[in-house]
Amino acid sequence: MTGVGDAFPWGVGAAYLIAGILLLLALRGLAQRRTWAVGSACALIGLGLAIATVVFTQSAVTLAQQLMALLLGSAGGYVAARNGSMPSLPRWMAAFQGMTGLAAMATAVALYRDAASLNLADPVARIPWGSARIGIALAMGCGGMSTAGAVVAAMERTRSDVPLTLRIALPAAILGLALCFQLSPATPILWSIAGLSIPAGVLLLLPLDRAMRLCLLALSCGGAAAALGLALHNPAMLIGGAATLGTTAALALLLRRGAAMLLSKRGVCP
Amino acid sequence: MTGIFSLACIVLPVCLAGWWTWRSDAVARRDVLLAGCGAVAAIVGAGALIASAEATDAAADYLGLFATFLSAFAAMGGLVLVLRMAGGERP
Repeated sequence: MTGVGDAFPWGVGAAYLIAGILLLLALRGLAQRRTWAVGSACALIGLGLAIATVVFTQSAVTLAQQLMALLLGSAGGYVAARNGSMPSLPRWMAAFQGMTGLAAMATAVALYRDAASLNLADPVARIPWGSARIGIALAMGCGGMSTAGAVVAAMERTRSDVPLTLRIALPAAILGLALCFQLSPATPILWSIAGLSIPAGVLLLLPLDRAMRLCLLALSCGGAAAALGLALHNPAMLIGGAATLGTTAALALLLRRGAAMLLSKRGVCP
Repeated sequence: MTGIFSLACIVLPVCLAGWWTWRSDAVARRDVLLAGCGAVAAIVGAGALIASAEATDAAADYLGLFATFLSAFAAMGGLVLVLRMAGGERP
């Protein structure tokens, strides 16, 4: 931190924590139709507080470039989503989640290149919980799976002949490499995680129907967000990402049970 | 953050959000999924902003800015989709 955050480090921590709790409460509100407005308000306030805290703790030198990137991105997203047709909503959702995954990968690489400020060489970083290393590795893996999975999620066809062992082995290999990266943060390990995450995302999603694909994409994006929170020691990102993980895991279970009309007719998938 | 605090920040939200979603209205689940899509993009965007600001070399800075652009695109897109659905538009 090079801005206001230097003067009030406790204030920055408290703001992130409050933003994380608001994001969690937003999900509670959104889960019931009658409390939808309260949930939306909590989500908007929480996200606004988190982003305002990030912006106000930056130095004036980088702030202009960051605001430009934010404005250009927001304008592009607004135009794309405003003009997109509603029948292709699942494809838009998949595209946005793919972009989020790609953003998580780019952020992980940026953090890795900036190893000095994250104390990657610090022995304390060997502690599994609160470590920057495993956060970067998992963000890379989850981000890559989201990016590759988004391409599959936009397709109509499914393939049921993908071997189950392969679908289990690839994510397990990514997890193993992330643990290796925790012990020794070498560049080839990080690129291996990125390389494996692409086929893992494709093979995991290929046999599933579209609703389940969207759920797993959101699960993967939530994992990437939580992993970045772990890398940056940021409670708002950690709580928000973990809440999305919990939500999408529950949605995926509901879909498997067939108990919900989740994404059909009046929902996302036609 | 201490280890226990980090663990609590992961486990509690996963359990609470999972439980609330499990007991949610069938129609509201669509909103939860859409809102989650936008919110996660915004969270990743916040991380990208931090990565860009704390970068010590130019490549990391540009990667952070690229990630900021992408996540702002996705977050705003998700928000507009939620608002269109709330306005009564259906797929």
